[in-house]
This record gives sequence, structure tokens and C-alpha cells, in this order.
Amino acid sequence: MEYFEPKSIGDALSLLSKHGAEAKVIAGGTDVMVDIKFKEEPGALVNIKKIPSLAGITERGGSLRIGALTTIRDIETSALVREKLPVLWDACRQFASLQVRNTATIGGNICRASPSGESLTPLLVLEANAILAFSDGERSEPFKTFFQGPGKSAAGAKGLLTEVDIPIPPAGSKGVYLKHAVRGAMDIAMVGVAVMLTPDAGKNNAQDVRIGLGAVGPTPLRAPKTEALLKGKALTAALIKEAGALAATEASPITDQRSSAENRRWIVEALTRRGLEQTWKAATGKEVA
Amino acid sequence: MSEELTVIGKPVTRVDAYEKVTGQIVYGYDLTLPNMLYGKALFSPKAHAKIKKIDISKAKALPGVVAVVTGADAPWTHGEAVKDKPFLAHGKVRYIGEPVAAVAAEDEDTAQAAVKLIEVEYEDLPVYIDPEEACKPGCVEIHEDYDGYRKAPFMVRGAAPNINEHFKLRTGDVAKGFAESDLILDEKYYVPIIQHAAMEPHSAHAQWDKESGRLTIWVANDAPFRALHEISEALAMDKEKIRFINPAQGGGFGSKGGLKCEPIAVALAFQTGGRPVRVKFNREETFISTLTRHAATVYCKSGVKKDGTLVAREMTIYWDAGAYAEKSPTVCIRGSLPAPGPYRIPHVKVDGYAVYTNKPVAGSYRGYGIPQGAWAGEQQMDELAIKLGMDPIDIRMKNIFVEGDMSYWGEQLHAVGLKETLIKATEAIEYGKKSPINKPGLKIGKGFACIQKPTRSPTTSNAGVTVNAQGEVTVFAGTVEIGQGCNTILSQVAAEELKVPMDKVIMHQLDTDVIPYDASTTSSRSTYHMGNAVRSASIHAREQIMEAAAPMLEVGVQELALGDGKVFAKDQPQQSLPIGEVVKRKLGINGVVRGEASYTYEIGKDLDLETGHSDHASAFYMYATQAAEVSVDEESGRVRVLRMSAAHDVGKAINPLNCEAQIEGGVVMGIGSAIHEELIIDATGKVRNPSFLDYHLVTSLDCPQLIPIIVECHEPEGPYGAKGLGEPGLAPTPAAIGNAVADAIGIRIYDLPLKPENVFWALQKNKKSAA
Ligand SMILES: Cc1cc2nc3c(=O)[nH]c(=O)nc-3n(C[C@H](O)[C@H](O)[C@H](O)COP(=O)(O)OP(=O)(O)OC[C@H]3O[C@@H](n4cnc5c(N)ncnc54)[C@H](O)[C@@H]3O)c2cc1C
Repeated sequence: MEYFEPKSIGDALSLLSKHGAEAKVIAGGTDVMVDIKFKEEPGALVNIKKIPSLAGITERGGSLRIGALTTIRDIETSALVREKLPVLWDACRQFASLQVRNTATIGGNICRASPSGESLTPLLVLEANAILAFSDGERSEPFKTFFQGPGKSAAGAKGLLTEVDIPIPPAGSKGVYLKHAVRGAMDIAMVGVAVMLTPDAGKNNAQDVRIGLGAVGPTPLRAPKTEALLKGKALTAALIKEAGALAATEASPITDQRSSAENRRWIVEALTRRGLEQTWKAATGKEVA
Repeated sequence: MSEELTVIGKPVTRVDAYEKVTGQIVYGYDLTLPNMLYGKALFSPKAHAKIKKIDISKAKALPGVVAVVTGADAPWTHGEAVKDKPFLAHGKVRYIGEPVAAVAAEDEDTAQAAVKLIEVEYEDLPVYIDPEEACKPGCVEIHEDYDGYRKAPFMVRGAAPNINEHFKLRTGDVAKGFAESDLILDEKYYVPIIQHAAMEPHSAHAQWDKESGRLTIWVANDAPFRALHEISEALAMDKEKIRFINPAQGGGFGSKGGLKCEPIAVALAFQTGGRPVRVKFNREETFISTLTRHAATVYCKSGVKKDGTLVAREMTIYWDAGAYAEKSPTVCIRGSLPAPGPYRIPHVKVDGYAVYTNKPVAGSYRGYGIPQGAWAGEQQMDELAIKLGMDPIDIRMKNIFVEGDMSYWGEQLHAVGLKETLIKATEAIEYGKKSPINKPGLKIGKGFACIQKPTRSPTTSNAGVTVNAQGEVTVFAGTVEIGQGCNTILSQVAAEELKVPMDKVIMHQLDTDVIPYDASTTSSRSTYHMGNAVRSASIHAREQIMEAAAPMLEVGVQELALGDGKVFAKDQPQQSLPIGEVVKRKLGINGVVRGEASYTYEIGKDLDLETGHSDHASAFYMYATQAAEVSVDEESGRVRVLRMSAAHDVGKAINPLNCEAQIEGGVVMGIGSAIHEELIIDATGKVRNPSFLDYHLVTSLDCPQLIPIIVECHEPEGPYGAKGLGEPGLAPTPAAIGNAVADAIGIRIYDLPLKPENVFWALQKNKKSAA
């Protein structure tokens, strides 16, 4: 295995072009090192941690920009993220353990493209974009199309994720991330649900509702039918019950050693309902009637 | 001596704390030896198959490979109760993970690469996963030569295929008992396979010296003398030719007794021209190829009078032994015998069957069969109470063992602190009082469970204690410090009897060339047995010192006392000599006083093979009650343990701090086994979750508020009144949590673990039947 520490994005990209499918980018290494140990060693390991300015959280023209090397812990402890992007903050604080959060990067989480990746459904509901660098230039790719399957993304083997660009939701919008796992820490989500709700001016109706479903399909998913059902309405117990059931049909889970598909659907239903209850209350100050 | 105790009963800091916390200690897994080779095993990918052909030529040809061995080079078998396990597979494999061949090479990567070059041809045989299926008539014997194996004399072969032990307990007449009962419950309970998951995985180093004919094995094994015996029997080699050296051990919980990596290391060591070989299992190999805890299917039927008096209990338990007998026969005996619970029951019938299956080998695990029986029996006690409209405390109080009771196996019990544990544990979580927690979607419940646990008996511990002319005390004891704190406890005993400060006591490293025989560090036996041996050996040394000191101080031996590392005259304390000085004057500057002792607790008659009866089956019994408060998420089924009290009758707490740590550790481990842990094995015999990613141990965030409670019901034979404590913290934990979950949701769940999905389906089923 060859090992490289490029000092610039350009150097990194030429290494990736040169080594093609043999090359592997490593950031925090919390996925890559596990793969090296238990699966296969790549021909060339490209450590991007020496590239300056790939980490950091900045606000720019109605967006938050988070560098690919920003650690999950930095996001979790950022007052800016907590205030502007509560759904992302909520996911990051439920991520693995403190030790892993100190090492793991958001770029790694995204490019790993695991359906259970904690930051993925929040980025979907935030309608964020991946800023990708290729040897022939930079491109912005919405997360809606970025994730292509377990471990597969629009970054491919030759692209580098440099930043995520997250439009800041309207003031008054609230978000939560609910994780269903066996343990209180160090656990992979059996189901993850991200809900974001924006009330109308009078706080009477849900002007916009977005729902992201994790670990229940080959990629993280949105639940468009459920979102459409809720849009413009006041949330009632009957409505969120219906929404939960509908969201369960929008998931396409599998059965594995962690959970059965059927159980996952039930959990999607329950967490969607809870997510709606919580965001409705946070956004309007009212309990779901 | 009637003086006050100076260090016994005190919360002394662990003697090994510093070297462990600073990382200085060398664990078996970390040990490197000069000129060492690296061993790796090839594990069977088949659960049950004939080996048609093994081709090692490619592996042998790989540069850097020194030796490649297969069963043909290691024609030996071993096993504690049944000699059924080959060093490396002989002609067939019986589980996925069975070592088939091994390589020793100059480095680990080469060894691993060579292992991949070994080619094996298999021919499939029927695979048995469920013990109840495996013992149906017509099943193929997993061990076709079973009847020809050498076995322990106490074993009873079952009448059906694949049963390696059938334990029977017969008391009274259960049919009559059930006829006299007002209420009868009959249920089936299930406990899955779990794994010890000690922090340090398994390893062994072996070296064979042709000239001297000596075989040396470095291994963190919790019963080195038994392992030595097993190796000597297997190889037909004199015991003096074999030496076991114990480096530090990073946990075990029962998984590190018997032989695991040792046979592979030994088979290789004979082929390396005298170079030592290390065989080290990674985590996955530890999961599939060392040891597991028995899954158990427990049929439990109880009959009670309207007033809650237990009349009859009948239990049939299938212990899933896995592919080799290991300790299954004794787990079956010692787990089945007290399975009906710590109660006066006139009519009892128990049948325990240890059954071979094509799964990883099951054996001893902290609690030795008690958790499985308690999961059934203690949940059924609650169900009986509820059906009778009684308080679960009252039904137990009515039937519980107290001082002088006759047990259903024919032994009169003494030093029974059970009632006190029950009262204290339930009080500590305000059992019976409604929880103030009120969160929508969360159900809160409380529950408790009681256990009684025997210890392996009869067994022997020997000890030596020396005092040198510097006044330093060295203890030679074969108890293994596996993390449980024995080095601290035994140092306290020596310090107490010789009245020296703790820092003057050194525990000698465990080396079978130097240390006298000890049965094992298992079964919660060490504080009691080795405690007694070290105490007597210390007294033996003390007597020699006192005798030598009497003429020096010109007073009679009777007038002498010890204190602060000195011998002094009782009525003239200023007239004193440091004990080192006494040794020096008597034996010179290099002199050493040696104390020696042997302790064996003679039990009564052996268990009667037809009735399971004995007038004295265990040196002592441990009693405990634990109580849990849990929350259950009504929608997801997730159980969280909020509080757990654990009251244990320890006889006498030699070190209260260590007792509490043992209780807490046991409880936390028990919580894992109650709410997440389960080794998932599919129909082909493959373990689906051999890693910490999907084998869920408890993390600190899953730990509840722990309330350890020490109860001291003096055990007259124990050192200072002590019993044992290593195992029982785990044993009642799942049953207490099961009862709390049933209290929370009003649904009884019979199968462990209470992981979210299992609880979810129970809730779902209940909703359906309510609708
Ligand atoms: C013990 C443990 C617990 C875990 N728990 C969780 C959990 O609770 N939730 C969760 O979501 N995940 C969890 N993970 C997975 C892992 O920690 C996360 O996916 C993490 O965010 C990966 O980040 P990293 O920086 O370590 O990535 P790396 O391992 O360095 O890389 C991950 C992948 O992304 C690629 N990559 C990294 N950066 C870039 C980039 N800038 N451009 C292009 N490709 C890139 C790499 O080539 C690799 O394929 C856990 C892992 C471990 C070991």
C-alpha cells in the first residue's frame, strides 16, 4: 500500500486520477481503518487531513458552509449549528461516542454513503448541496442526487468532497433527528428519522414539512407523499397518525441481524409521528391536538 | 487470636491498581518472547462435515513459514469431563470456527497468508442447531465415538442421541404435588447464547525444549493446574515436564479456563526446533472459537396452594452444549440442581440435558447455569403471585430458605442470608411504590429476583507464605488475578495475620514450577478456599516467628503479640522486634521463614446419580436478591434499566470496596445479557454477529443507578466468615429485569434478550389480542 499526504486539493485530485479505483481517500479514518483491517487494503491511501482550510463552519449569504474535514464533535459543539440547523445538531450529538465524534468527519460520513449514516437524513431535509472537486473543476451536487447506493455517491472514485453548503432554513423552522438503536451510545441506527417543520406566519399551519428516513433503504430517503399530505395543514393527532403510516410505506427496509424489515417499518411510523409532534410543538408552541 | 482486625473488612485500594492504570502490566496478549514465531489457525467454515482431504503443500512452501500442522500431527484429544476435543480437527469438523490446521511463521502476516493457502475438502453432514432437535431419535451422533471417550465418573449418558449428560433430581412425588395444588403454571422459557467478551482476547505461547523434554506454556488461563493436568493427560507426558506461567489476565468470566489457544500453540511448538510460538485470536476468532455461555430452553411447571405455599416444581432444561462437552456436564449438574430456586418445595423433579449441537462450544460463564434457571423460576414466582393476587415479596417470604431448612436435594442449609437480601434489595428501589416518572409513551415497572448459588466442591487450595529478613512477605498462591481483585484480598489476609502493612506483601507470579497446586480460579471459590489456605500459611509463618522471638525478647510465646510489623510483649509493648529482625537473628540476613498450608473442604456424599441428592453438595452457598426499575418504550420496545439494587450475602466483606465493584460489574454484565446480548447463529451454524458492532455489550450510557448492598451472614468455615462473590451479581439480573418489564407493560416475555424488537413484538401481539 502506498501512502500520500497531499498538501492541496489539486495534489489530492491528481493522485486520485493517477491511481484510479486503487486509491482511497482517508479523512478521520473511522470507516477506512476498519475496512483496511477487515476487508481489503487499498493500493494507495490518500490522507487529506494535511490539506489546509478543509475544516470549519462559516455563515455565507444565507448558507452555512461546513468543510469536509470538520469533525462531528465540532458540529455538535457549534452554537451556530445548534441555532440554525437544529436537525443536524441533533443527529451529531447522537453519533457513536465522544471518542469517535472527535475523530470522525462529516465528509467521511457523507462519502461513506451508508444508509444509516447519521448526518445524511438531516442534510437531505435541509436540501443541502455537496461541493465536489474534480480534476476538471468544481461542481455543486444536491444531496437528493448525491447518494446512489450503499457506499456509492456522486463523488465517485476521483472526486473530493470539499464542503457542504446548507441553506439556512427560515427563522421559526424546527427540526429533530430521532434515532432507534439498541444502546445509548456506540450503535448503528436501526432506523433514523429527520423531521423539519416550518410554520406559517400565524403559526397555525405547517407551511413546509420535510421528512428524511435513514437505514430503511439503499440510500437515505425523503418521504415525499407524507410531506405532501402535511403541507399547509394544522397537525392533529389523526393527521400525524396517517402521516406515520404513510411514511412507513415510503420506506423500503431490509431484514438483517439488526432488525426485521417489518419492525423497521413500524419504527418509521412511530418516529415520524413523534418527530412531527415534537417539531410542531417547538415551532408553534402548541401540542398536537 | 481475638485482637481487632486491622485490614480485613477495610476498603483497601487494589494492589494492582497502579500498574494497571498506568499500562505497565504485561497481559498474556501483549507478551513477546525472544525468537518467537507467530501462529495462526485455519478455522472450519463448515458446521458439520467430514474432512476428505487437506493439502498443506502451498502453505509450507511460502517463504517465512516454519511449520504447518494438522490433526495428523496432533493426534491428541482433551476435555475436562469428556476427552472429546481434538487439538486440531481429526477427520471431521463439528462447528464453524473449529481449528483445523495451523501455521507458525516469522511474522503474523506471513502466518495469515499461509493459512489462506491451506486447501481443505469437506463432505457435508447434517447440521444440528437446536438441542431439542439434536436429541430426537434417529439423529446422527455428532460424536460417533462418544461411548469410547474417556469420561468423568459422575457422568450419566442420556438415552437419546447427542446427550452428553443427563442430570436427575427426584424429591417427593411431583404428580401428587400437582394434584394437591390450587394453581398450576407451566411455561417454556428461553435464554440465548452469549459470549464472555473479556477485554483481553485469548492467546497462548508455547515452547518445547527437546533436550530437557520440557514444555512451557505462557497463558492467561484461570485454572493453570487443571490446564496442566489436561495437557499432561492428552500428551501422556509427566506433569513435571510441563510448566504453566501466567502473565496478567485481562478478564475471563469463565472463558479462559480449559484449553483454547493452548492446544494449537503446543501442536506447533513441537515442530519449530525449540522456538516459542504465539497463537493469538482476534476478536472474531474469540467469539466463534473459544467459548460461549449455554443457550437453555427451560420448561418450568409449578404448583402452589391458594395461600402461596409452593407444593411442586418440575423443570426440564436443555443446555445447548455446542460441539464439544467442555464444562457442559458440570454446568448441567450445578445449574440444574438449584434451578427450582431457593425455596422449600416438597415435590421436585428436574431433568437437565446437556446436548451436543453444531455450534461454538459452550462452557463456564460467570454464574455457571444459575442465570438460566433463575430466568424461568423467578419469573414464574412472580406470575404465580400475580395469579394468586399476592405480592411477589409475600410469596417468596412464605417459601424462602432460612437457617436450618432442609433443601430439596437433601442438605440442611446454614448461614442463609437470603431473607435479609430480599428485604434490603426491594427497599432500596422502593418496590411496591409507584414511580413518580410520568412520560407519555414510557411505561415504568419494578421487579426483583432471588438466587442461591453453590460452589464447585470439594476442591483444594494450597498456599505458601514467606517472611524474609527485611520483613517482606511473599504469598505463593495459585489463584489467578483475572481482574476480580484476588491479589488484594489475599494480600489483606497475609497482612492481617502477620500484622504488616499492605505494601510489605507481594503476590508471587503464578508459575506452576513454583506455586503449589490450586484447583481453579472459578466458581467464586477463591476468597473462601485460597483465603483459608493463605490464612493458615500466614499463621504457620507467624508461629515460627513468634517461637523464634520469644527467647530474643525473653518472654514466653503466649505473652507475645504482633502489630505494625513488629513482635512485642503484650504487657511491655516497648519491648519489641521488627519481624524481619527476628528472621535475621534466627536465620541470618538471607534467611526466610516459610509458612505452608493446604485447605480442602470435605463435602458429604457425592450426588446420588438417580436422585441428585447429597447431604452436603457445596462448601458454601451464596445468596442474593436484586431489584430493578425499568422503563419500556411502548412503541419501540426499548427497555432501559433506571435503577438496580443488588443485595448479596457475602458472609464477610474482606474488602467492601472490592465487594461493591464485583457486584456492580456483575450487575452491569447481567444487564447486557438481559436487554441486548445474543450471539446470533443461523441455520448453517454461522455466527452472524462476531464483533462489537452487532454484539451489544453495555456502555456507560446504558448503566443505571447501581445500588450495591452487602449483607454479612457469617459463614463459620470461611476465612473471617467470608463466602464468595465473583459470580452471583450477574445471576438474578435478567430475571429481575424480566419481572420489572412485565410489571411495566403487563406482558410476560419468556425469551431473552429483551431487545427492542422482541419487546416490540410482544407489545404488538398483545395489542392484537386486545383488539
Ligand atoms: C466505533 C464506531 C462507531 C460508529 N458509529 C457511528 C454512528 O453512530 N453513526 C454514524 O453515522 N457513523 C458511525 N460510524 C461510522 C463513521 O465513524 C462515520 O461514517 C464517520 O463520519 C466517517 O468519517 P471519517 O472522517 O472517519 O471517514 P473515513 O473513514 O476517513 O472515510 C470514510 C469514507 O469516506 C471517504 N472520504 C472521506 N472524506 C472524503 C472526502 N472529503 N471526499 C471524498 N471521499 C471522502 C473515504 O474514502 C471513505 O470511503 C462509526 C464508526 C465506528 C468505528
